[in-house]
Amino acid sequence: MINKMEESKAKIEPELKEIVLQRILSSKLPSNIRLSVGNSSEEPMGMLEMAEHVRKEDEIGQKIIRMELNYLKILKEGIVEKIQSG
Amino acid sequence: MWFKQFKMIKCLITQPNSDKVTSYLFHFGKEILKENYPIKIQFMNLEGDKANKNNVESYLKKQDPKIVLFNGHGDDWTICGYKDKDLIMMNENEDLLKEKIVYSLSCSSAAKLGQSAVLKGTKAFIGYSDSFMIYTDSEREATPLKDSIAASFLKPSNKLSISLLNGKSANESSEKSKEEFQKETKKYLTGRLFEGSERIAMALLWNMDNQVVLGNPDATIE
Repeated sequence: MINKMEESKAKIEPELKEIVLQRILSSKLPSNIRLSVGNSSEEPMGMLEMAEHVRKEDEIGQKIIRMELNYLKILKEGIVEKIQSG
Repeated sequence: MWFKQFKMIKCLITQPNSDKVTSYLFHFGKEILKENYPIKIQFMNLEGDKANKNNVESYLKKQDPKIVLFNGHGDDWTICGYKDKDLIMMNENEDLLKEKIVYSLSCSSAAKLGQSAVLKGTKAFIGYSDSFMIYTDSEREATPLKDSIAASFLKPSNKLSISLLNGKSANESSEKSKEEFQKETKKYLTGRLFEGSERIAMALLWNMDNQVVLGNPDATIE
């Protein structure tokens, strides 16, 4: 299993961070639909709060970045397409 | 066959219900208790402040449940109960999970704690190797079961518990849960439901990818 401590300390490329940030800021997800990342935040987060965590690259921000990059990776691998057609 | 009918399995379940997220886990977790199972299941349900370390340790020692379902917060080393107080902590009391099948719906507890539990004799530990992400609808917080967004996250999780309690193996149950995650993901990928729904698909896929089975994949409660 990947050593998460090492993974979280790994430097996130500024270009990738910017892509994630822009994807979040351009999302049109309704404001009543909010994200919780375990018990990391008191209240579920809206898009602006998510973007703020990503900007700061704090613990929640790093998880959001990893989730987004994971999605981009599986998009590239064609897994999403398989799910859609499955 | 007759033996099977009279057999009873004990299941310990923790439902702290001490904040918004655990309130959702609590309400959806209740659905597991309402199912009909082929084997009689005796649920030992620790709700609210009863989901504490003393009670969990006592039940694990004295009642010897075959299966334990944890619902709550956690991290790499810990599974939490009411108000995020420790229930199971790595190198402290995970040996109490020996010979049991565990499903931990709590962030990251499969990363280290689950592995340690398996080394100390847990038959199978199913959990998440990273944070469990959940989108909820703030307009449905008062009636969690009517929150269709949250349901997309928690029904695949319930599927796992129900499958284990139906006598399926750890691996089979995780596969069924992952199929359900995929089914839910598909709804949001099309983008027909509402704009931005791809973000929900992203979180569902994240949870699906992070769900792991440690220990014996063929372990069952019987």
